[in-house]
Amino acid sequence: MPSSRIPIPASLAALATAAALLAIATPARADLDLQVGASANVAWTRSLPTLKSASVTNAARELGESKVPIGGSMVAAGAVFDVGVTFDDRIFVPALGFAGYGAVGSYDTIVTSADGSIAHVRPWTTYRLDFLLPGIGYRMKHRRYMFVASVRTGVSGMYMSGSIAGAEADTLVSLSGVSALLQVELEACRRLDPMTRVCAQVAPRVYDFGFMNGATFGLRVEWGR
Amino acid sequence: MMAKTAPKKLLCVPLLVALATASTLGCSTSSGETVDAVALRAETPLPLRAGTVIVDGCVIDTWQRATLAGPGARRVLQDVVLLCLVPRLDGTVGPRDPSAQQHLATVVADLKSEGYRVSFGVSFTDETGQRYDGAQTRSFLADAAWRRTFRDTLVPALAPADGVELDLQGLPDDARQSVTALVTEVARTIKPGKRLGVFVPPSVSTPSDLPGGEAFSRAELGAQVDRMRVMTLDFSDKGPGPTIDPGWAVDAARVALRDAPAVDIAYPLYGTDFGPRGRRPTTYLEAIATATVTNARIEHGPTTAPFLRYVAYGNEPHEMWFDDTDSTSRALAAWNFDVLPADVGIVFYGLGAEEPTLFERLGARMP
Repeated sequence: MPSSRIPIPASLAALATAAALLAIATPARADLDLQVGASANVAWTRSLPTLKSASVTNAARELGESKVPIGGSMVAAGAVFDVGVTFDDRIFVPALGFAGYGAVGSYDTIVTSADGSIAHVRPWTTYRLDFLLPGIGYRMKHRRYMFVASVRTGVSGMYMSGSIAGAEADTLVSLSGVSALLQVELEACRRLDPMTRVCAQVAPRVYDFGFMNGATFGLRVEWGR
Repeated sequence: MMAKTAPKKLLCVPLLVALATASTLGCSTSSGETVDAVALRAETPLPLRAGTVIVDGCVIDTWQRATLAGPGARRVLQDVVLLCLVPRLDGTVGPRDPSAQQHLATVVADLKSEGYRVSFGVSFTDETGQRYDGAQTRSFLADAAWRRTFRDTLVPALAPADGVELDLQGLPDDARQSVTALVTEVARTIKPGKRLGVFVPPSVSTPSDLPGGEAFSRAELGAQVDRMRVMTLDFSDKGPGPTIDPGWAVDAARVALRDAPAVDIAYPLYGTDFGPRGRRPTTYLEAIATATVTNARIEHGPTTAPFLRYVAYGNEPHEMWFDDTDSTSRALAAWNFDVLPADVGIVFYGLGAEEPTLFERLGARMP
């Protein structure tokens, strides 16, 4: 009696093999640590994005929500708080975080347009909020030093104030936008005690209202092993 | 060990707190200067649209001729409208005398040799050059015999030109049927050999928000004409203010586009001088000269249109609003293809009143 054979797709077989190898290579006990971090960051945005203006009524027209192109770069300073999980002292999973930034420096008023009306944008009123979502990374240690590279996702919101020109007066309006966020985080840390590290971090923003649209630079304190 | 690391930890915390506080409090300020956004900057191409210029009269002076001969104007403009023809009391379209007709034929030939298409505009004015009041024009248009004379005499007057533009203003709402009848009859008479355009008021709602706006049935007129010119001019007709608000002009063009497939939007080349005795049209060069003579500072309104306040003869306070290349090019850039379809053209009104370098600079930004 011939034996019955069930065809197995090649990709499924490869996946099963990889899982088996990992199972052999990894100790049964997962070494899992929680990490908490706080940063003082400087964020550079290469090009301010097109934001959406709130509805406005002035002497010339009633204007619904409309796109307001801006452009020009901006530097902001702020703070970041986040948590992550380390597996086996190597695999780092940034979990959740929150960042808030406010513009720093001196900026020109930007003359732009909103649905055909002339608009003025005030970049110095910009603030932005980032909700940092999970990613994946790898870390390695050398004596007191530790190096981490990770990729993480998130959602970024940007807000600023501006005005839409009516013939006789400007009408103040708020501008806002939300974007998906993808950033690479590169970090070098020095241990201060068994639970505390101080780190320098640079995080190019692969996607933030546009591709390669800036970076953050941070000084960071981390708690965790 | 702890004694060695504790000071370092203590250093970190104030650093974090200081930077976070700085950002929270907001240490960013205005430079007091303005800069154009990328799409509005001088080096950024303007949306390429069909361009028409209106000359208020039958004569093109040497200055206007020089402007039209320049490469900038030839890049921006394809059509020239000479607002020149007038119907007389009996409906006869003038000018009728042979010398005037010869002069017009020569002007048209000159402009055509520069590559322009030339139309004649019909203004409904009396022999002193003042517009008939609306009731007078309505009574003309309601008379079928008057309309017949009008179109019969229009045909020879149009001989050298490529088309005609009808400039009807100040009509009461109940002239609607007569306006439609006139435009329909003229279309039947001159097309397809000649082009037909009509100037319509810049209504931003249906029914119209303007007195007399309902005299124009845009849907019926749109079916008859080659271009419907929405005259988005004289925005500030009550008191001092800009001649145009670019956003308002967009709304007016959109209302027209609901009914008519081929729409143009107007942009003023002239300015307006507001005084206690009323308002009068002015030019860019007059505005600059007035600012110089009266030591008046040139300011900019919300739409970036320049204006100046000065005291004229008799101690009368005046406010003079006008447009320059910057305010014009900003408005044209703001009317990008996301805002208005690409086939919406621009009608520049009042050749000769503009900043002398306007068309050169606009032309340099055309792709």
